[in-house]
Amino acid sequence: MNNQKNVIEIVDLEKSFVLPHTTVKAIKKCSLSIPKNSFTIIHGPSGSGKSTLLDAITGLEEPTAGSVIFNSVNLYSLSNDKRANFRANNLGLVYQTNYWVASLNVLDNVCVPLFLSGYLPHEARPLALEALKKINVDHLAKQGPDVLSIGEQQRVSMARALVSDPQVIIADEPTGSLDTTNGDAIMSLLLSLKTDFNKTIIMVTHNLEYLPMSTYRISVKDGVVTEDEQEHGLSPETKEKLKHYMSDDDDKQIQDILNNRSSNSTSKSTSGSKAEDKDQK
Amino acid sequence: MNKLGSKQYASKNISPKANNRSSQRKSGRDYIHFRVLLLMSLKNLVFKKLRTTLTIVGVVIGIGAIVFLVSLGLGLQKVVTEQVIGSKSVNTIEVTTSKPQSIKLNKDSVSEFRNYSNVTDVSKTYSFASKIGYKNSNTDAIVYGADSTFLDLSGFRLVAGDQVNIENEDSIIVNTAFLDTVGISNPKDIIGTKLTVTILKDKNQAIDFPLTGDFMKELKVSSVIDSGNSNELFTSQTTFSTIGFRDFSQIKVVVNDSNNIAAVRKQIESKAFTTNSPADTLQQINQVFSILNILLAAAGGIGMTIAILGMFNTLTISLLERTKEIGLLVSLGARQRDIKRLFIFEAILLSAMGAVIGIILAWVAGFAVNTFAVNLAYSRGVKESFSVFYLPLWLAIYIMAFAVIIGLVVVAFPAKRASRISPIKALRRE
Repeated sequence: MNNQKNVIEIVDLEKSFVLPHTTVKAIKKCSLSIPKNSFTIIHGPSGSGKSTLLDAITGLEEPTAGSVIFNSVNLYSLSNDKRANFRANNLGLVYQTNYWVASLNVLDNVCVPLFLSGYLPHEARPLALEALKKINVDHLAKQGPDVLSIGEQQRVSMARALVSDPQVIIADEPTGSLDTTNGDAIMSLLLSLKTDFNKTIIMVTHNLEYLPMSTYRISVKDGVVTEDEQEHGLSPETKEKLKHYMSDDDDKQIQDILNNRSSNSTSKSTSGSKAEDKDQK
Repeated sequence: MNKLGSKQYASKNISPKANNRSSQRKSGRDYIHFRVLLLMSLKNLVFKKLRTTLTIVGVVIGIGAIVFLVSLGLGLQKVVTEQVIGSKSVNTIEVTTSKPQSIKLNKDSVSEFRNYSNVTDVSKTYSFASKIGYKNSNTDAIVYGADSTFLDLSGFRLVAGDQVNIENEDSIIVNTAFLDTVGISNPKDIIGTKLTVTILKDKNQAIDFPLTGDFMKELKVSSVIDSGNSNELFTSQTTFSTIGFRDFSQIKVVVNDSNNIAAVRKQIESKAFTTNSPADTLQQINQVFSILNILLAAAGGIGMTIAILGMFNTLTISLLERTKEIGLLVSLGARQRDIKRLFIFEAILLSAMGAVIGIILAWVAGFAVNTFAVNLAYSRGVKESFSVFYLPLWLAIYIMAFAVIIGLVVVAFPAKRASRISPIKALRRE
């Protein structure tokens, strides 16, 4: 495998949109490196250019200048088809609002990323079921996606994002439509993907509450992309959440996180050291 | 770096084994398999049952109307052809002479025709205007001195008696028209009866007449055939050739393929003979019916036009409804051509299913109408069964191909639009 430290390198990236009477610079020239196995949060106010940056990273929006290099592959030097193939194989996507192929059941919807990289149904379905089991929503497999609650949809979409075992999970405001219970559940799932599955998480959010969870932060404001002053390792709050996530009584984990939030980190667990193992060097 | 991998997990959701599988999975194929696209198209059609059903019904009506009307046209064409041409071999050229005194059809002409390329057989006949004596009265008739090839080519239907055998010099074959003239209702009654055949010497006769007086012979009726509406009798030509008749009244030239008829005819006509072929008649019949069939297909085409509009409407609505779905597929890694194919498969499924059902229903309807027509004709005295509907396999295959092509044409625009959907715009947050 690739031993590079960074999974994504953004070099001199610029994006402007040409409108009839003016040109909007959505992203001003910037360079970034997203470390492998990081929990990267891109934050900034609405309309700041976060989504444009994310679209450039996912290979959906060709930048006006500069390049996006994913594991030494320059995304925009690839043909459209190759780039589509790259997305299917390397990225797991979670959106704020979930979209589904309405005619397929949950299991087959989770199969879609596998289908797109060439799997046949009988090959894809066991893997999709496995992914649903990981997120603990395998009981929804035969349902139509439209009957699920928003929280369930978001969890299924997590299964869909990780079914092809991509290196990078990209989450665009994944908690934006959720209440805090479901939001925290999704956040702990994202964290577990990073810690347990060695995924690199790139999350876009305007919710500053989640910032402490990150290991790497990028802020976008009026098209200016800057790396935040990086702390070493996880913040104390993150450790707290991780610790709860990996507490022995995992049925209570979500409740614990909620309690944790409401009581403002008063409860202490004895097994906090586990989280420290995951700290960045 | 990752020590957690070896630690005991409390969470039952997370399998530690997963940690070992860090490389991405490979299916061995790069892009979506067409079977998966087909499955997705099919599921989408099933998902929108009512709309799919209505669209298919439209195609069924359109295709069904075309198939019904065209097979009616083809059936009529077949009935007419059978009536006019009968079982005559179409690949024959009938050679006669318009100037019997100078241009003669004789043994030399027969051997000459035989040597032409693509000619497989040559048959010759004498024919004479004659009087037939039966029960003290004479009937005018034409007597043929034929050979078995001639009879084979003419394809007459045996009505009574033994197998048609022309080789016996003492026997004669009569036709049903002759029986009608002499007033015999049961064809079996005449079998074995002796007829007196008299051929009068006539200067205007096309045949070079070797006898000084009339030719007269008593012949026994061996069988009865159906050969047409004029009185005709057939006997062995040896009877005439041994006496010294040299000129034939007609020669039939058999050509191996109908495409070669024109060339052989040209060759024969260059020797100043007159030619005629059932192919001419057939061509005229086909000409008339090809126009009729086009008119019938055009009438059915009106229904098809409406079906096409229905299909276009369905596909366009499907496109508009699924903008976000398509945006999702593209963002997850579908290629433009995958999206296009998704729509193309849907369109082909719609039109092909409609076509199959339409063809089957048209066949059933044709069968029903034909049964009704045959029964009606039977009650009016037509004893023979007939079929005014003819749905050959090639028509079914053409119609299927036509339906698929229509599907492809109709889907071209929606598919192109679908493949151009920008996932960013489609999935943009409000």
